[in-house]
Amino acid sequence: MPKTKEAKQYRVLNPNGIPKGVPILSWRGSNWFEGDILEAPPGLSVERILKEGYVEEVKSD
Amino acid sequence: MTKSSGLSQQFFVRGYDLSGDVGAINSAGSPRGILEVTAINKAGKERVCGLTDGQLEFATWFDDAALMEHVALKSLPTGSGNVLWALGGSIGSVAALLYAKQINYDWVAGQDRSLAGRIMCQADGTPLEWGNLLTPGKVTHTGATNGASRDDAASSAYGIVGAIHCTAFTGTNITVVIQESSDNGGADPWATKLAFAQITAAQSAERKTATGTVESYVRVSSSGTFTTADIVVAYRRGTLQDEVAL
Repeated sequence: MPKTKEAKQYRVLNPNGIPKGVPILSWRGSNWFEGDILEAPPGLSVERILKEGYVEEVKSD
Repeated sequence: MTKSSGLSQQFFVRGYDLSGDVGAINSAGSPRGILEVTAINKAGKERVCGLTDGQLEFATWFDDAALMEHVALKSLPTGSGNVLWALGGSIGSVAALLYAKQINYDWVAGQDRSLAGRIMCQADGTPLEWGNLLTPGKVTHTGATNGASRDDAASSAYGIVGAIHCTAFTGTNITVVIQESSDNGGADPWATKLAFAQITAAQSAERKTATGTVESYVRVSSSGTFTTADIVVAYRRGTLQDEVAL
């Protein structure tokens, strides 16, 4: 049986030294904080935030 | 973005809203020192820029009501504080930001019985900076709020300066941040670029910087445990011309 493709996961980083408890990313009413795992919902582009170090890809084994 | 008058200005000193007392801005400047470095092989003087500076002198009418000019200015604090002169009350209105020492509290009692003060603030470490409001003048947040955005049409690469004044506060704390997005939060999420220190009391103000790329859209966002907070936020994008990178 072919393995289903899982959505990519990203860990939220804190490149600007934002204090704890303050959301690093906000999108359409959702907030993500440092250390959260972001599974990008449909319509959300991670291209820029990945490039600028707001998130890093979580490598699965 | 057009020729305009000076109507509907606002003025804040160290978290006090003195817009109702200040009658005029006598001078707002960022003078620069000039060093003559003429070489012997030149026929004309050569000059390079020296230190930057900043000053803001304003005229105020006497007012000893709560939270008004006499209460705010009479103590002549020895530490430095933030001053914000907004030339309008909309997001994007031009604003002058100054981190400065208040060096006097001088008064003239006129024969017409007027009581007019002239207050000079001189920069401490940074010049007077020209930026823009990121809130529509002073606004009241009654809970976590995402402000309307401002589109600067292009991203910039030299950081950002933010200034906040909190003139009234009820609650435990509020944290105000500046967020950025390349498409106004369409597909590109809002990312927090700069966070001001948590505010727990009124009459607080802060100037804060962040480095790096700043996307074309910026907005103010607040969170915390509070009932009401009156704040005004202004910002300036860093430029290649900044003497010291942000």
